[in-house]
Amino acid sequence: MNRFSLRAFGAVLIVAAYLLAGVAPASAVEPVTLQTEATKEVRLGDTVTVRVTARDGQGRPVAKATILMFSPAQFGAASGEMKLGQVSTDASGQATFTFQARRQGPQTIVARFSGNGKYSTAENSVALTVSGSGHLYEQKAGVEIPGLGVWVLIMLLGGFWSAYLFVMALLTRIARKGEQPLRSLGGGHGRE
Amino acid sequence: MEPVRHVEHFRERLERVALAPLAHSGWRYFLWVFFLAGVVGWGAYAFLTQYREGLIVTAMRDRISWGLYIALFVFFIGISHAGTLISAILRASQAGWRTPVTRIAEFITVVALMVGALMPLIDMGRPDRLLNMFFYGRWQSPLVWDILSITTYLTGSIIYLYLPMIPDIALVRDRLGPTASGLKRWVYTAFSLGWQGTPDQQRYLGRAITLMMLLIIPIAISVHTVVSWVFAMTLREPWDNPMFGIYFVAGAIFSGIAALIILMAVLRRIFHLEEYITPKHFINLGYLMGAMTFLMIYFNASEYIVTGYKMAGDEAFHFEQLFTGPLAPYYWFYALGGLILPGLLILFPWTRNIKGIVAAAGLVIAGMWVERYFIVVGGLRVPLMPYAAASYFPSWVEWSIMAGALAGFALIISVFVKLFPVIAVWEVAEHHEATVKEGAEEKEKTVPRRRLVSELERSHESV
Amino acid sequence: MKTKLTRRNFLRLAGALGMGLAIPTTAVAVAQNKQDEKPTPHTGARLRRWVMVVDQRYCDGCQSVDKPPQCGQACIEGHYGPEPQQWIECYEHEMPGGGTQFVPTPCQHCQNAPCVNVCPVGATFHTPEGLVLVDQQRCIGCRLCMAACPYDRRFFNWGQPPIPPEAAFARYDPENQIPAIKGTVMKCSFCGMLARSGKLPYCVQGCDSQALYFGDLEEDVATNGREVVKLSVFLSENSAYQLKAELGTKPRVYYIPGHGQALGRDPFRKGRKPTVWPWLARLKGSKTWNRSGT
Repeated sequence: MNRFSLRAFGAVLIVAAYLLAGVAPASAVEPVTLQTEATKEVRLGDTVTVRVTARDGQGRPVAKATILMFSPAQFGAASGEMKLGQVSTDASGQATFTFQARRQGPQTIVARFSGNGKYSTAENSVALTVSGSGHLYEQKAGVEIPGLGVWVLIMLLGGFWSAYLFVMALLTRIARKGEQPLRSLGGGHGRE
Repeated sequence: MEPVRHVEHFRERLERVALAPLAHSGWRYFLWVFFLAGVVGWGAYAFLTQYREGLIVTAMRDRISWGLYIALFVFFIGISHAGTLISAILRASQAGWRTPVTRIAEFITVVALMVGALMPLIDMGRPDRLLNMFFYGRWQSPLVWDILSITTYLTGSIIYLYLPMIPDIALVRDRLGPTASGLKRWVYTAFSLGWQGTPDQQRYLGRAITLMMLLIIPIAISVHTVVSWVFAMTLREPWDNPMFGIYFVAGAIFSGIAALIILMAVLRRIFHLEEYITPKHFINLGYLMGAMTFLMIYFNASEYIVTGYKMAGDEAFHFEQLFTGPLAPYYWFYALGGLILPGLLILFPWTRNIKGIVAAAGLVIAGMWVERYFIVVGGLRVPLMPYAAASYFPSWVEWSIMAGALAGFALIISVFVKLFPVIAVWEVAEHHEATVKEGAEEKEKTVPRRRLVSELERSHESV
Repeated sequence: MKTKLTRRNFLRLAGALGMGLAIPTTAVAVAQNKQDEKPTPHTGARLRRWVMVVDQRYCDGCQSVDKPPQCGQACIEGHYGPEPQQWIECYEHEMPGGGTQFVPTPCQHCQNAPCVNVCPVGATFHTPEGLVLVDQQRCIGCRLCMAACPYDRRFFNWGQPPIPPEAAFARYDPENQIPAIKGTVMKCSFCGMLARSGKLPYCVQGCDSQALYFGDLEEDVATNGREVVKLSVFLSENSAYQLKAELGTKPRVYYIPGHGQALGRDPFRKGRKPTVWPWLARLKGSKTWNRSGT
C-alpha cells in the first residue's frame, strides 16, 4: 500500500467518525454523484477554480463531504496521482477548489469522494488545457539599493591612485628642479 | 651659546653615525644574513614540497580549512600598521619626537606587507592559477577587496617610505666615497632624483609628504578592516561579528607598535643610535602601546560579555573551547601574557624603562600572533553540523614556511639597513635645529639653504 | 601642469602613469568578468528550478537494512567521490526531547549562497536552474567558500584525488566533476546532468525507502521515484522546514520533520554504519585523507 492511499484511508476514517458522532446514525449507503466544472482554457499561472457539487440519489445536496482533488501527473520517470488538495462541501453540497496552473498542456483534474458510512464513493473529473509560457517561480536574493554599486569602490580606488599619480608628478618636478646630480657634493646638507 | 655651530656639530655626528652601517659590514653581519637566507631557503623547500604534493602535507583539512598561513597573513598585515599608520599619525599630530623612529616604522610596514601578502598565495590550493584573480576576479569577494586594498596600501607605503628618504638618499649619494661600486653610485643617484634641497624641491616634497600622510591613514585602516572581513563575511559564530573590523584595526596598531619597539631596540644596540633613539622614545611608544593594551582589553571584555551573557547558538561551544578547551592555553597566554602583563609593565614606573618596555613589546608580539592563530582556528573549529569537532596542529611544512616568512622579514630588513640610513637624517637634524633655536630665543639666524620646512613642520613642540 | 619633457622625465612620467593605470585597468577587466550565472543548456521550454525534499519520517539512516546510508553510497559510486568526501552526508542529530533523527544533507543549493558571494574568481556560480556548481578548472583553491558555507558541504582535494581508469578520459563538467582535480573544491551538484535528461539524482535513486524527493519549483512538482507530489501541497501539509533558515541563505532543500517513524525506527536507537568507498578498493595505493584533521 502506498502512502497516498494510507492518508486517504485515514481521512475516510476521520470523516466517518465525525459523521457517526454528529450527524446521523448510519443506515443504508446512498449513492452520490459529483458534478465538476472548471474553465477549460487557462493560461499558465492563472488561478483555476473547480466547482464541485455533491448530490445523493434523490438529488439532495450532500453537506460536509470531504472531496479530494488530484490530477494524474508525470515527473521524471515517475507517474501517479498528484494530490492538489482537498475541500469540504457546504450545506448546499457545493465546494470550490482553487489552485494555480503551474503545468503546461492538457490535464485532468479529478474530484473524489471516498464515501462514508452513509454515502458511497464517487468520482468525477474535468479536463482543461493550460497554455502560455513564462516563469512563475522567482529566484531572488539580496536587496537592491538604487544608485549603489561597484562604481563607489572604483571611484574610491581611482581617487587613491590618482593621488599617487599626483605624487609621482611632484617627484618628476623635484627631479626637474635638480641639477647635475653627481656634481653637487653636499648640496642640501651640512658642510664639512 | 652659538646655535649655528652647535647645529653643525650635531649634524656632522648624526651623519657619521647614520651612514656608518652603509659604509662597511663586519663578518657577523654576513653570517647573520647567511643564516637568514638559509632559513628562507628551508621555507622555500617546504613550499616546493607543498606545491608538488598539494596541501595534503599541511595539517589543514576540510573542517579546519585555514590554519597557520592565514593566521600569519593577518599577523603580518597587523605588524604593517606599525609604520605607516604610526608615523603618519605622529606626523599629522606633529609629535616632534617621532623623527628618529619614523624610517624604521615605515620600513616595517613595507616589508611586513610584502611578506604578509605572500601568505594567502602560499595557502592557495592552486597557486598556478593565481592569474585567474585578474581574468575572472569578482568585485563581490572579500578576497578581491583584500588584493585591491593591499596593493593600494603597499604602493602607498612604498611611496611614503621613499618620499622622506629622498634627501637622505641624496646625502648618501654625496657622501659616498670613491670606494663605492658604480652600481651603488648609480642607484643612489637615480633614486635621489637630483635632490639639491632647493626651495622649489623642498616645497614639492613637503606637499607630496603631506598628501601621502593624509592618504595613508584611511588606507591603512581600510586594509585591516578588509582583512577582518574575510572572516566577518562568513556565517560562522565567532567570526560573524560587526565588531571584527574595529577589533582587527586596534590589534594591528597594537602589534605594530610592539614590532617597532623591538626593531628600534635592536637597531639602537647594533648601530649605536643611543643619542637619537632615547629612552624617551621607548617610553612614549610604550605609553601608546599601553593605551592600546587597555583598548584591547576593553574590546575583549566587550565582545565576550555581550555574547557570553546570551550564549546564543554555538557561542557556548566557542566559549568552552576558548576558555577551558583545547584553545585555552593559547587564549590565556594571549589574555594574561599578551594584554595584562604588558599593560602592567608599562603601568608600573619601575618597569617603565627600555628593558621593561621591550619585554612588554615581545610579549605583545607573541600574544598577538597567538591571538591571530586562535581566531582563525577557533572560528573554523566550531562544528556547523552534528559532527565531532575537528583538531588542527600545524605540520612541519607549515612551521617551516612560517620560519621562512619570519626569516624573510628579518632578511629584507637586514639588507635595507645596509642600503639606507635607518634614521631620517634631515628630519632629525631639522627637529634638532628647531628645538635648539627655540631655546636660544628667536633670533633671525636662518640657515635658508638647508631648511626643509614642510607645511606641517612650521610649529614644533619642544622636547 | 607644465612639465618640460626631457628623456629622463618622460621615462619617469611614463612609469608613474603605467603604475597608476595598472589598477584601473585591472578593475575594468575584473568588472567585465563578473560571472555569477553561466547558461546551462536545458531541454523544454521552461526553465527548471531544481529542488530536493528530504522526508525524515522515512529516513532511518539505513538502520533497518543494516547498511551505510545508501544515498551517500550511491553518490560515491556515481560520482567517483574521493574518500572522505560525502557530498550527501547523513548526519545524526540529537533531538531536543531526546533520541536522534537523521539529516541527510546534500549541498543546500542556497539562492542567497554565501559560497557564491565570496568566491573571488566566479568558480562557484549559480546556474539559471538554481544549482550552485564549482568549476574546478577555474577554482584557485583559496577555500574562502569552505569558510563561508554554513552547512559543511564543501570538500577540498587536499592531495591528488584518486581517479578510476574509467574516469580518466571523461570529459570534465562541473555537474559531474569527473575527473577530480587536485587543489580545488568539490561538492554536490544535484546531479544536474541526470536531472536534465529526466533521471533522478544518484542519492534519490539510491534511497531504498524513498525518503528523498527531487523536484521542480517552477512546475511545483516533485517525485521520489515512486509517487508524484505537488511540491507546495506536500511541503505545507507536512510542515516542511529548512536547515538554518534563520541565516537567510534560502536553501533549495526542504526537510519534513521525522525520525524514521514511518519505517518503525526507535528514535533512541543510535548510530549508522560508516560510509565506505568501494570503488577505491579497485585502485591500489590511492592516497586519502580525513575531514577532521590529524
